[in-house]
Parts: sequence; C-alpha cells; structure tokens
Amino acid sequence: MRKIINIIFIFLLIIPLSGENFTGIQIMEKVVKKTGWKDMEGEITMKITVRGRTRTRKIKLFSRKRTEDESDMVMKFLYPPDVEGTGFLLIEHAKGEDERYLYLPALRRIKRIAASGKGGAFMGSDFSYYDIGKPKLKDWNYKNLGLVDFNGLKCYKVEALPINKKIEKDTGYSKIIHWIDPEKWSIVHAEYYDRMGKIWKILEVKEIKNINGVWFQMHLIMKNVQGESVSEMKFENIEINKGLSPKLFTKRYLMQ
Amino acid sequence: MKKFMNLIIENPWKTLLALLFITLFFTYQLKNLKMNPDITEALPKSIPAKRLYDKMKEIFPSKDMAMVIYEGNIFSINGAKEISELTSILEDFPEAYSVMSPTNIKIIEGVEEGINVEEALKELPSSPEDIKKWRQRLNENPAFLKNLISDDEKSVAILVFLRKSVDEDKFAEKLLKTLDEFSKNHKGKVFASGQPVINYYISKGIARDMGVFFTSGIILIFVLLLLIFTSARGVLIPLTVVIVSVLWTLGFMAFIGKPITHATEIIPILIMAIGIADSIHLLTHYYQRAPFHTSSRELVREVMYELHSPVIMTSLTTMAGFIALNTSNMESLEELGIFSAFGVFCALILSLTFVPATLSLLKIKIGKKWREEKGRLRGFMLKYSDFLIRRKKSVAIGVAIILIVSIFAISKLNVESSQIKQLPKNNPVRKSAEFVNKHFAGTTTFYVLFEGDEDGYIKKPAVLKVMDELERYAEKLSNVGSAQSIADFIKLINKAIHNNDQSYYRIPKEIEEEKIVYFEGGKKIEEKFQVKGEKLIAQLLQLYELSSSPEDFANFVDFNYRNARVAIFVKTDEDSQLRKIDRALSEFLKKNVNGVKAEITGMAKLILIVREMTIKGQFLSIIASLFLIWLITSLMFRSPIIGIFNAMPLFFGIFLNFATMGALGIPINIMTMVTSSLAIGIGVDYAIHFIHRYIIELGSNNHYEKSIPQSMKTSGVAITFNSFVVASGFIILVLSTFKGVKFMGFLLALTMITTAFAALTILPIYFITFKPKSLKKAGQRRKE
Repeated sequence: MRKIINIIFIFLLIIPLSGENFTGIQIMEKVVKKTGWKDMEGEITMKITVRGRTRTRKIKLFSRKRTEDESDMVMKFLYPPDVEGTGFLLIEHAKGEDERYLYLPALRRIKRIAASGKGGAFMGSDFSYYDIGKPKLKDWNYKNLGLVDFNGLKCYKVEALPINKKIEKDTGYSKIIHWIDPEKWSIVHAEYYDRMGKIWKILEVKEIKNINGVWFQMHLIMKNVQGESVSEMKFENIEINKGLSPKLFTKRYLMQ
Repeated sequence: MKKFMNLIIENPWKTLLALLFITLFFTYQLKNLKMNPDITEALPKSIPAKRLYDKMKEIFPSKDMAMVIYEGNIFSINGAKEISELTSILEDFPEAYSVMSPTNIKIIEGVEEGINVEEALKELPSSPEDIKKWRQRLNENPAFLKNLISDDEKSVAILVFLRKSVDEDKFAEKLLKTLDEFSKNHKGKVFASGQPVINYYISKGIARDMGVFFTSGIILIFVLLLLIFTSARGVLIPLTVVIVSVLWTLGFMAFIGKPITHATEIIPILIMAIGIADSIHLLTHYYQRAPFHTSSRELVREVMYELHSPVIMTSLTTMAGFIALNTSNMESLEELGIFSAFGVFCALILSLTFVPATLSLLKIKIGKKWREEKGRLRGFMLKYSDFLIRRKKSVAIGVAIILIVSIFAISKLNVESSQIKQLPKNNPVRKSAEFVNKHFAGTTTFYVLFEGDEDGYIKKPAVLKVMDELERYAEKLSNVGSAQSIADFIKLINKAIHNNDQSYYRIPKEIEEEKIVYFEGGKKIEEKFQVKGEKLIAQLLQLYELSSSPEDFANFVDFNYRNARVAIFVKTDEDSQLRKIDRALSEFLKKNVNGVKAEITGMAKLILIVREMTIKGQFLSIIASLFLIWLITSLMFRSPIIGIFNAMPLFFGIFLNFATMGALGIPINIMTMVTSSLAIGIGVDYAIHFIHRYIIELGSNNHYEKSIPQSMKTSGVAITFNSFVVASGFIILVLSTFKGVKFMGFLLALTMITTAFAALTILPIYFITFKPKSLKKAGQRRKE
C-alpha cells in the first residue's frame, strides 16, 4: 500500500514538471499569440562580429502582418554614414519567392535583389531571414520535451523538425530546439542544427519587454558555434499596433 | 675523470642497468615524435613580412589552399556533371572553409531591375546550349578564370580554402584518398596540389628518409665494423653505441615536443657517422693493448686512462661546431645544431660508460686481421710522408693550383632553390605542381597587404585604384599567372549595376557623374547628378552583400573593410624569379603608394626571406664555428698560433666544398650551406689528432722533418681510416628523397676526405717549411 502511495505521489510531482499537459504545437501557438503583433515600428542596432572585427549598423524598421502568414518590412539605414539613406523593402510571399528591393541614394535608383531563399543571411548577419520572421508553424513538427530548468527558470523545451526536405533545404535547419518561458510565452533560448545534424547556431534572448501587452524580444544574440561570428540585435523605441499605413511598404516610399 | 672511469669499470652491471633504463625511457617517448614540413614556422617574429603573414592568418578565414585538378572534356555535359559532383564532394569536407570551382563560382550579372549573384552553373546542363551559356557566364568573371580553367581548356582547378584549425596533413591524406576513389568511377583524371598537399608529400619523404637512413646506416656500420674487427664485440659494441645515441636524441626531441623537420631529418646519420668514431678508437686501442694484459678490468682501465681525454676533446670540438649553427637565426637549423650536439654528447657518454662497462665484463680476446690491414696502411703513410718531404715544393704548387682553380669555380656558384624541385621528377606532387604552374595561374603566392587606419578605409576609391593598378602591373610581370583583390569585385558590381556597360568595368572615381532617366507628363527627362565615389562603393557593396553573402569577400578583405590584400599567383617557386617579382612589386609600391600602407608578404615572400636569412646566417655560422674551433684548440694546445694551424685544413676543406658546388652546378641553398658548418665541427678532429701527435714526436726528437713520418704512421693511419668511415656514413644521405639532402651527403663525404687530406698534406708541408716555434715549445711543455 505504501508503495502505491509513493508511486502516486511521485507521479503527482512529475506531471506538472514534465509539462505533458501541452503538446508542442499548442505551446508554439501560444508563443505566436502572446508575442505576435499586427504592426511595429522601432530602431535596431545590429552588431556583427566576424573574426574579431565588428560592424555596426543602425536601422529604422517598420513591419506589418499583411496576411496570416505574410509580412512586409521596410528598413532605412541610419548608420554608418556611407550607407545612410539606403532603404530595404521586403515583401513576403507564402507561395513563390519573396520580393526584396534596395534603394541606393548614390544612384537614386531602386534595385531588386534576387532572393537567396529564406535561409539567406539577414543583412549579412548570423540571423537568417527565417530567424527574424514569425515562426511558420505549418512547416514544422513540434514536440514538447518537457519542462526543464533553464538558468533558474522553468521552461518548456520544444523540438522542431522540418516537415519535409524542402523546408530543411530552405532554412538550412535539420532541427531547432526552443526554450520557452511559460509565463510570457516567449522564446528565451534556441539551438539550431545544420543539415548534417551538427549544432550550428545558438540564440540567446537577453531582454524581453512587455509592450502594449505583447512580450517583445528586445535584445538577441545569435552565435555561430561552427564559424567565427556572432551577431547582436538590440531594439529601441518600439511601438506596436499603431496601425501603420500600407503606403509605407511600397517602392515609392522607399525612395523618400 | 679517472675516478669516474674506475667507478664505471668496478660497477659494470649497475652501469649497464642505468643505461638500459634511460634507453627505455627515451624509446618510449618516440611514440610522440612528429614531422613538420612548414618552413615558415622557423622564422623569427621580428621580421616584418612574418608579422604581416601572421596578421593575415588572423584576419582572413583561410590560411592555405589545396588545389584539385580535373583533366578531361570539361565543356561537355558529362564534364560539367563530373566537375560539379567533385565540387560538392569537396564542399562536404568539414575542413573546407570554402570551395571555388568553375561550377560554383559566383557570377555577378546586371539584370533589368538590379544585379544577380548566382553560381556559374546553377543546374546541371542538358544540352550544348546550356554548356555554351555556362561558358559565357564564366567569361563574365575574368578575375578568377586563370585560376580555375587551364590555358588550353583541357583541365579545371578547384580551389579548396582550408579552415585555420585544420590538421593539413590529415586533410591531404583524406583528400588524396577521396580523389583516388573518384577517379575509379569517373571519366576525368583528377589529382591534387597546393601547399598542404606538397607539405604532406614532404612529410612522407622525411619519414621515409629517416627509415632509409637508419637502416642503411646500421647495415653500413655493421659491414665496416665486421671488416675492421672481425669479431662480435667489435661489431656489436660500437653499433649499440650509435643506435642508442640516436634513440636518446630522437626520444629527447619527442619528449620536449620538437618535431622532425626537413633540416633535422639528417640527425640520425650525423650521430651515427660521428658517434662511431670514438668507439672505434677505443676498440682499436683495446685490441692493440690486449696481448699485454690478462685481466679485462686492467686492460680497460689502461685504454680508458689513455684515451678518455682525446675522446672528450674531439667530441667537444664537434659539438662546438654544431652549436655554432645557432647564429643562423633559423629555428630549424638551430635545432639541427643543438640536437646533433646533443647526439654527439650521448655518443660520448655511451663511449665512456657502455664501452668500458661491457668490455670489462668480457674475456680478453686478441684480434689478428686488424693488425695486418693496419700494417699495409702504415707502409703507405710512410711512403706518403717520404714523398711530401722530398717533393714539398711540387706539392705546395699543386695545392696552390687547386686553390686557384677553386676560386674560378667558386665564381660560378649560384644561389637557387625551389621546394618543388627538391622532390624527384616523378614524384606525383612535383608533377602536379609543375602542371598547375604550366597551365594555371600558379601555386606560389605573394600577398600585398593593405593596412588601413580606420574602418571602411578599403572602400576609398584611391585605395582601390592602387590595388587595381597593382594587379594589372603584376600580371604583366613574367611568371605571374594572375592577380586578384576586392577591387575586381567592385569593378564587376559597378559594371553590373550600370546595365553591364563595359565602360563601367572600373573603380568609381572620387566624384562620379551619374544620371537617371524618367518620364514626366510623357516627356523624357534626364537628370544628371554627382556622387562621392566612396559612397557609391559602399552602397555597391551593400547591394552585393544583400544579394549574396559578405563572406564571398572574406579571403580578400576583412569584415569592416580596414585591411585587404591583393593576391598574386606565381608560376614558380625558384628564388631568382621570386626575387625579380618581389623587387618589381616593391618598386611599384614605392612609386605609386602615397599615404597608403601596403607591404608585401605571402608564402613567396617568406620563402625568399627564409632562403636569404639562411645563406647570410650560414656565412655567419661558418665564421662562428671557425672561431669557436680556434678558441677551443688554442686553449687545448695553450697557443693561439697552434689554434690557427687547427683551422687551416678546415679552410681548405670549405674552399674545396664551395669550388665543387660551383664546378658541378650544385646551388647554394639551406641544406648545402649547412654542410660547411657541420663539416667544420667534424673535420677539425683530423687536425687535432695530427697536431697532437706531431707535437709529441717533436718533443721527443726535436726534428721537424723526422717527426712527420713518426706522426703519419700512427695518427696519419687513424685519420685516413676515420675519414673514410665517416665519409661512407654520410654517403648514405644520397639515398634521400630530397635533392638538397642528397647534395649534402655528397658534400659532407667529400669535405671529410678533403679536410683529412689537408690535415695530412698542408700541415706537414707548412711545418717543415716554416718550422713554427710554437710547436716546439708545445713539444717541450709536453715532455716536461
């Protein structure tokens, strides 16, 4: 009898800890809901360090969700001076390739940039276009690996595997593991594995801030553990859900 | 010292046990022995080009590049398929940082709306038109064409840039295996080149040489000893001494983590050839004195009492000669000097411990054959001294003629060396390197490193323009295959962005005139405006980086555009050609680079410096070793003038060495230069032995001429004999994989004979002609 009580007791302890009450996809849905926004405006400071040399870029950013899984994004470069005024426009397409444009004030012309796939490096950083976008839940099979301790924080560990080879090839990832803080439903840490199954990049989220009820990742560091680079993104003056005008996300605005 | 000798003779078992333990310890260390073929490691950091080279290694992602050559029908459907298959096999190597081939090279192309950066062959071709398109696309990126496609279009090169942390030897081994597999089921022929592959073959050559030297050294010594002593102890004791000395020395090197290099690979042979002399000396005396003793211990005691001091002296002078290599400033030569000296020291220790300990345990045995042989030699030496005394004038004139002819031959000396030509003609890596040098841009590289004082420095039109001009200038120099830098990319992007207009295939000017055309109210309006070149360049680069990846430039410019390099590929690694290019480049930089910090470095420059330093360093070390020898012998004989007599045969030997090199066209290079320093340390023994004996004779009979045959029949015999033994030891080096080591073996053997000849010819003639008082004084001192 005592044995049975013991076993029940142990089970009672394990169940809440193991987090078996949520499936992987349920967790991710909550993440998208709690950290998602309709539109945003803000400034980014991006520091990319390769082999000990650092490049700093300052960007004014506008972004909006155009449809359920398509976004638009406009970036204006504020720093360094030699690229000041250049503007970048990204129009995402769920089907077919994204449109990317760059406005070059030196030539007073807009040039289209051939899309290098969603796995391409964002601004030459360790973040890919895929990493900075909203997680595309349809592309992955999620599995809840349970509640674990992460730097003193109880977090859900969620494994994401690409649903097919195409997604794997597009993103360059054979596996992603997310650590999710169940209080804010925000990703606090992630590991990305390359197509050979070796760990490739590690994401650290240094600061999460509540802006208008949305948990926003203010400070991210992406470290390439296979190479010699690390990228840091810091957000400032973030405003969310202001109702940005669709006119912002056009080539015409890019030139202004 | 006598106390020490008694201790050994009284405790033979303990001595042998102690030696056994030391030997076991060092033999166990041998498992850690490594080979290192990289000659640049040896350079001191204080040299600017070496500092730059190290800085370059830190800035750029890749240190070295391997090259894979594919020979076959390249512009065909099957050719394209095989090349792109090979490319992806190479891309899958974890050691590869990046791979550049005619199929995956990024082509920058202007299109209607912007620029396209895509691999040259995006999809496998299925028709002759596709092949044609591929060819056209390649021609749009002329900068790399010469590195990737041979002049006759019959082969392509795939460049594999290696990560810095890669074990290049292991990589080369893996690469060669992979290529072997590949050629089994493909039509094209494949082979590899580039520094990592060359180094791999050199390492293999060193390892092979060590084995060959060691075994043939042992066989040779075995045969020689058998001929001399015709007894088991006469063979086994000296053989054990040299083998154990080699084991101790190599074990010691392994223990302190020193790898074997191209230079130190000859250490075993040096130790064997030199170390054998002492034990032969001791055994000879042992056999001579054997008939007069009944107790082994007493016999050994007498031999050791009499001989320990000349054995120590000659070992010390030899060590001094080797240590003089330390003045060369080249690490691998310093190591050669120090570890050979260590080896000689080991042989000395063993001669003073192992030999007496073993002999005192064995029963006395009397050799016969030895005395007969020696009797014949003695007769010859007596005739020879007779001849010298009677014909001293003719002999002196003969020597003078030899010296004059030598001067003429020395004037023909040339300095030339090539790492590749060190290898035999049929060596696969030499063949492939020569192939690449003939048909592609070349395997040796100069880099001109441009160092800026602020980020973005390299984006300045003035800086880029100099880089571009430097490239075009370099490409016109003979033996330069091609030159590349970030400037080529900027020209390509500039052209692409201006609708592929060839007139924009250039670096933007300081102020660039641009125009836009637009329609307003049905009217075409053309608006002109000016823009700063620097801004334009920055934005072109931004466009490129967003279109592709900034890592495409990683081998040419650092991440924040502060430092960049111009790569200049050269089709040879021969000194004289490299020096010409080096001079031309520095002249260009002096004239055209104002306010821009640009310096020459790269493997080619380092090769030049290594060779220059070695040769300069070697002259210094020849002088240093002569001085050391003079100093030691002056102290030994307590007369600076007798010190000079000791050095005289060495001068003659070195003179003849260089004359032979001039006459036979053996070039001066690292290995052949070292010969002189080594020869000095070894060759001085002959003079010491002869002078030592001559002084003793002079002290007893007080007659300059009569002392000659007296010295000849004793030490003259020993010297002749010894010089032939040592020379035949060195001749083994002729079996080496490397030409330099072969020459070295020949020259060392030759110098042994010439110094011995000089000691037995020039010294006697000088002594009987000038009758130096210093010798007589020394003789008297000796008598008292």
